[in-house]
Amino acid sequence: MKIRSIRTVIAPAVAVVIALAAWEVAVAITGVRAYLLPGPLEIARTMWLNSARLFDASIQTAMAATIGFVIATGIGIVAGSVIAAVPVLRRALYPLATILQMVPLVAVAPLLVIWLGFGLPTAIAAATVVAIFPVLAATIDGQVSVDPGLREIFALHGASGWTRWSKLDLPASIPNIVTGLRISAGLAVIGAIVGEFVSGYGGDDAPLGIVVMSAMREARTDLVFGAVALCAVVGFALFGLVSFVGWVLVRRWHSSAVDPSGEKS
Amino acid sequence: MSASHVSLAFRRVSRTFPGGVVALNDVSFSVPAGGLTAVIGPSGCGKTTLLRIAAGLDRATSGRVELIPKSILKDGAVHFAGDRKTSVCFQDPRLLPWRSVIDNVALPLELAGIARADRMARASQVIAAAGLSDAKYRMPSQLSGGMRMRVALARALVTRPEVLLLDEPCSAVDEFTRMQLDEEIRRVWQASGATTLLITHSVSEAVWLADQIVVMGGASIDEIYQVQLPQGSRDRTSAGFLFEVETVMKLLARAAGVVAT
Amino acid sequence: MKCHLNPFHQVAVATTIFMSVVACDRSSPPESGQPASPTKKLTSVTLQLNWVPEPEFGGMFAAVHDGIYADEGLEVEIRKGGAQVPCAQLVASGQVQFAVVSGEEVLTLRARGGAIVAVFATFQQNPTGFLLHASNPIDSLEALWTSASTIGIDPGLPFVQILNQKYGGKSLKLVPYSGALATFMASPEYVQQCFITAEPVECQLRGLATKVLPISDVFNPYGAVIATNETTIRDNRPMVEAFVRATREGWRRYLKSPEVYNPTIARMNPSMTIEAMNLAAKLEAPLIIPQSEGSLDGESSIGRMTLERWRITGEQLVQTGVMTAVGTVEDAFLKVDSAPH
Repeated sequence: MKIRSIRTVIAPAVAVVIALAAWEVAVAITGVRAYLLPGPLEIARTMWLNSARLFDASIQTAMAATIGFVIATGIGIVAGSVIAAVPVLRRALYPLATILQMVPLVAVAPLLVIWLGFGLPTAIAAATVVAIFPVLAATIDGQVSVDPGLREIFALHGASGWTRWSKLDLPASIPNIVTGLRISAGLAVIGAIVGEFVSGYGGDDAPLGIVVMSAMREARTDLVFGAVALCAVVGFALFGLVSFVGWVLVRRWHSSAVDPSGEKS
Repeated sequence: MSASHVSLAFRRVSRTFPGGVVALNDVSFSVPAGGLTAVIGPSGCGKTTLLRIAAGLDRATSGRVELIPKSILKDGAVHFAGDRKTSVCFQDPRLLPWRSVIDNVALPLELAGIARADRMARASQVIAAAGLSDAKYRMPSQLSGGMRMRVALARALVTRPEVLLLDEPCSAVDEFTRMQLDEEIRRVWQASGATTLLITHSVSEAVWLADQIVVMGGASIDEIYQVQLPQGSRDRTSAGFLFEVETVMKLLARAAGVVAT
Repeated sequence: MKCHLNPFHQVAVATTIFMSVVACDRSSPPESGQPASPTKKLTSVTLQLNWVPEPEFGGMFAAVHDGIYADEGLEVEIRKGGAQVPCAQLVASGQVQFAVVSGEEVLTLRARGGAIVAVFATFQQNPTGFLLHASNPIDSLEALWTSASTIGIDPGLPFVQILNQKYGGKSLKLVPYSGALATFMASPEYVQQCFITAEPVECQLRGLATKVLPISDVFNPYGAVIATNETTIRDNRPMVEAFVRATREGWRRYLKSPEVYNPTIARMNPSMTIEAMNLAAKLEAPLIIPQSEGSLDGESSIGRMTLERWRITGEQLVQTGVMTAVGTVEDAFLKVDSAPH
């Protein structure tokens, strides 16, 4: 992973700038009404004019997404490790987890409100619910595919299950877990916003989900786009943070990051 | 370290895998205390199974492996004493990629519950003896294949084993590196005085290192050959060395059923 | 934009329901001497509802049921709506010819450049209100807005701003309106927005005593209007007028005997019982029938709109900051006479 490479930063940045310019030009040429599709400049202006409200909203949503993500990470790694360690559980629970992943959050969200009430708890829970599966699956996959050769080293020295997990299974599955977490990070933000759709408090410090709904109702499409853009920013920030931490954790493995053993046995 | 007082004896060891494949059939020989015995044979002759049984990673279907004077393995049952009588070095280095050289070498001591300062000191000694001091804090991914094997050897030695089991440690490196590794294995063997069992498919390696060569064909022993060269003055280009190689090569060919002699 | 666009399929929430109103075989040639025959070629139009079929749309279903639209030369497809269907945007952009929206949505969207025009106001009185448990001591909008209640309400409704400006509302907890009654039924303190003829009826039938605080005292736009777009009016004004006439007649018949038509509505909305629909129809009648009209017989002015009402709504929206200027309210709605041209 070369996140410091200049090309990897510049190329997407140029692509984004070109896309925005094309969008602006297309809006200007076709004369499409702003309530249907505002141009990026119009959206930027709206974001600037509403910066205080949007900033507060982003903080609210980022908080719900981050807390949900952290909870999902904890549950996902612990449950994934237990499931990976016990073959019976793996056979019994893995299909169940897969099915649970298929349950649409939008359908579950109203239930979360009934169970947890309005406000932050439901947004956090919604973020947690969608973010758990990728971590869980990645943890399981990472830990069942630990190099058997390394397992033998630990077996030879009579390592206990706990020791083997903490010194081998967990570190060996970190590249997998980081991959899962990167997916979870984006999902957590989506989850938080869906949660806010059904439970977010209105008012001055309304979260992004409520700002989107409210702007939609007022036909302020520019504000809808602005809020949606900030949803993406929050998601990207969380994704970036996870990617960076992951990179720090596995950077010294280099090529072996893909195959934790580094060798073919 | 003084030479080991433990000899490693295989007593009528057989191993049949589920499904009926016979890996070992009535194998008996012993590695004298402080000696180095090489086991050679064609692929699939059960060499590695032999080592795995000695290491306690596999069970003999019948027969036993004994450490004399102290028996560790009876009728395939694993009896691991708290003290590490045996150490294994596999054909791949099996290093933890997220740990530095010294942390990898110290792993067996760490798993044995030795305090950090103590295990670091001991690991440093082994690393220094192996000439790896410069690489002490490097990561496995930053090392060459040969260096990784030397780290793996160092890890096997850090518990000061009486018996050292080496499973084709040079199979994955080039010829030049193999010669260097063989030098290292000899140094390690002589410095530790460990009773050593070396599984290899290289005749010249076996002749250069071992004082006894077990030639296996199929699942059983075909020949046990005593190398007629004094340890310490073996020269890969000498006529005597080449003659020994040729002799063992013939035994191996017969064992593999390739040439009639 | 053309008048007749393909059905808009992108809105997954809106389940398309097609109701054929063709009375007889359209392929047979028109009979001479009978120009008003139903065999003439019908114009297909779509009406997008902003909620699931309920008595609040009764007149339109009656007009389909009795073939009144067909008599006016129209084949009307009524499409179900839901919480997330952007009806005003759909009709303004020409994806549908007609849509049920609220009066404030018409003005708000026009202020943003949308060419939306109201043609028929179902409710003369704003049917929106707050639904409270009968046991709740709060008995006025002021008491509600100065309390610390939790209120389920669609984010962005303009009357929230109006009430905030009037009463503060700093202690209130506004949460999204779920469109369902589960939370309300479970918590006696909970308040939610309601359509006067919908949720209260549902509660009554479930044996739950409630009370309603109508918001018409502070904010009284035309709460439910049928809107079209400027292009449709310019290109086919007679069709628009025919639609309005038929809708008006449909409402007259529906309010007279809703029990005749409610089974049709119930088929499209199985979650509401016919009993509830009959009750709702009774409740909504006073909000729909203009106060000047004593009976439903003869000439009706159901659906009429006045400039004064639209202007007040516009001024209130400016006051809340939703719009910056009232603009030309005259263009926001179209007066359609009862008699055909």
